[in-house]
Amino acid sequence: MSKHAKTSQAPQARPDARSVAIQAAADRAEAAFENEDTDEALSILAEAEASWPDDPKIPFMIGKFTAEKKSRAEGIKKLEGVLERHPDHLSTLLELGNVHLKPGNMVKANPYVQKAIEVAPKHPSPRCAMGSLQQRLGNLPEAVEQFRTALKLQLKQTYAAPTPPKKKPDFRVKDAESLLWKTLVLMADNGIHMFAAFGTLLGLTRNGGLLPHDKDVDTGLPHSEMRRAIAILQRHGWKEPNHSFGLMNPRALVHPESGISMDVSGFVIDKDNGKALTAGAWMPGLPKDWNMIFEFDRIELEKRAAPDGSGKAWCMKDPEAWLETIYGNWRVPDKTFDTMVAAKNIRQFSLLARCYAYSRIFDHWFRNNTGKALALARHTLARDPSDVLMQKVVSRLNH
Amino acid sequence: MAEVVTPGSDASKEGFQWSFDGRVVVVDNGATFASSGTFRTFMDLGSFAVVAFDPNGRLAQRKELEGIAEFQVAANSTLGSGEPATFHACLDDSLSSTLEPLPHTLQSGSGQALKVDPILARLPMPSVRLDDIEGLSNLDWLILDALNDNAAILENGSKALADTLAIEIQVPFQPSHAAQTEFGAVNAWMSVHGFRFCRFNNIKVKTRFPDDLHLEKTQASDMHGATALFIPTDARLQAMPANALLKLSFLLHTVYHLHDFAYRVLEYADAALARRYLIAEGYLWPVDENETEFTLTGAYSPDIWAQ
Repeated sequence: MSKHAKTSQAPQARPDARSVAIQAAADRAEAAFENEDTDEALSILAEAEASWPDDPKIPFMIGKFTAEKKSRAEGIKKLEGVLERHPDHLSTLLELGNVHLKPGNMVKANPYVQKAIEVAPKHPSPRCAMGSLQQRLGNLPEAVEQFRTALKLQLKQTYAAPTPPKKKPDFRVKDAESLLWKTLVLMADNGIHMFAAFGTLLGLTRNGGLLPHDKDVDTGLPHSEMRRAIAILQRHGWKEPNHSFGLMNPRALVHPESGISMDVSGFVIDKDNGKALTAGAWMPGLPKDWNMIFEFDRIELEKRAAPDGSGKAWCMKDPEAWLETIYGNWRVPDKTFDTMVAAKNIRQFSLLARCYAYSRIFDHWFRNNTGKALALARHTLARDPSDVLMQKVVSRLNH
Repeated sequence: MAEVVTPGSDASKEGFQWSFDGRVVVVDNGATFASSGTFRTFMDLGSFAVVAFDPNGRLAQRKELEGIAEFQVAANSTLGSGEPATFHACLDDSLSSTLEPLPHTLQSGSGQALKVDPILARLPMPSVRLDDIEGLSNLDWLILDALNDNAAILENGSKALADTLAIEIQVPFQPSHAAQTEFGAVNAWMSVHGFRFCRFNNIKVKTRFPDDLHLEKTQASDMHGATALFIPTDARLQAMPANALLKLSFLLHTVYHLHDFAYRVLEYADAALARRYLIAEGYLWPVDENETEFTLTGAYSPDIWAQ
């Protein structure tokens, strides 16, 4: 939610010298933060706060950065301090909602998101935040409505010339690949049938290595082995922050030493049609057809020597067929492809699939990444061609 | 959602199957094992042969113990130095002993309010040296309560205990009877004779709160005694015959539920068997190192939404 907290597209008055100076300090801090120099960012912000103590933007950023990189509790304290003096500060309200929602504290997140909607009823970000909150609660029909409302409000925003989205830091392909094989060998040694899947399998098969624009490592395993696999991974230093965002499948782990993330998708065999099913996204307690399910004909693995010589690992026996099932023509790179929206083998455009589609379109659009937003909107429209809202979104993004 | 059952999970485990020659021969002085609620269950396994010394004749009233195979009772006698002992028959039968109850023990007994001598009679009782028991070819497991002269029993049993696998002995932390053998003395004897302390079980505690007030909650912190378990030192275990190790492992697993000790002892006998033990008991995942291909099936990873 935090990424929607900015108000860059709101009509701007002519900035005075003070505003310019505050914005300059904020920009420098943001740049340092994105450069992973949190201490430098906080130092710039502390200096700015001393100069302009009554401005909410600077302490908001201090709270946000602190919560994200230093201490969640300290960050929350700082953000709450901002609200004491500026109770209607939208970015702070949304950030407090976000910081509580991440680990799954919906009760604490809710009042901040509610207040954000009251404060800015025509702003799309609070609606998107409420969508995320309802999604996490498992109230998917309401979540879908909130995400669609966010898109409707976004359609009403005055068009601003897109600024190019900030480039993400490069994925450390070599480190990630080394960690991948080490992990697959560890798993095989412990009787876990873990294999490279999704984007990771695509990179290994098509490029001979991980995709440089990827953001994490994707693996799969029999769902029946999930609990044990997570226990072994945790014993080897992996962490599961934020409880995998409330999902039972896939599980999202981070290797703190390297900072590399890994999604672990569990596969089951469908009792009705015998196909191999995986997530997508599965939430505990939801009806089966509300979840986002990817469907494969079969999972066949063979044990092979890992390329780094560290041992033997389980690998997909026929990766080409598997990739075709999910990506279609996987041999042609498509940087706008988002598996969560565009996968060929999504079983149905379920409520959870809709949540991911609408929220990701909004997210990219709001961050001026209109190319990707458009690609996702087209895929979404293809799943439901009669969707008038999505027709409008595609039309707007096309211009 | 259905519970997923996979190899190694609790739901799929059948448990380790034990196999050894002969029975575990037990001498139970004070009949604590023979009078326990689980005795019949253990005897039904057909793996134990028990001789119980029952100084105050309690087992004679236990009709359910009649007819158990490989179970002998030596009523109204105790292990000891071989010299005649004195049995103190008390009003509170739980205090009756070949050791004289201490005054503070008698004061807290149930006869206190009756204003009578809480020791009803002092009766002569034969004591038997452990080394002199006829027909006892081997002794695997010795169990001693805290109401007889354990120092004398041990001192007169060095020969019989030379190859013993486990010794369980009740030790007082707050003596209740005169000349009870304390843990320090027991531990010293064990060290000299090739045994190591394993753990305390059945720790007896009493509360220091008043007993004449109704308390909303309670706590009992004062340790009065425990059962100390001794097994042969690792050096001795390493040199022990496989069958003896299997018996000891069985005992540690079945009676004491000490799976890690049971594993370690089993490993001295047969490392592959010990590994199978870990798998069978759900401690180790059954990795098939020869497996080179795998096809996911519904039996292996079933639909989690299937009822």
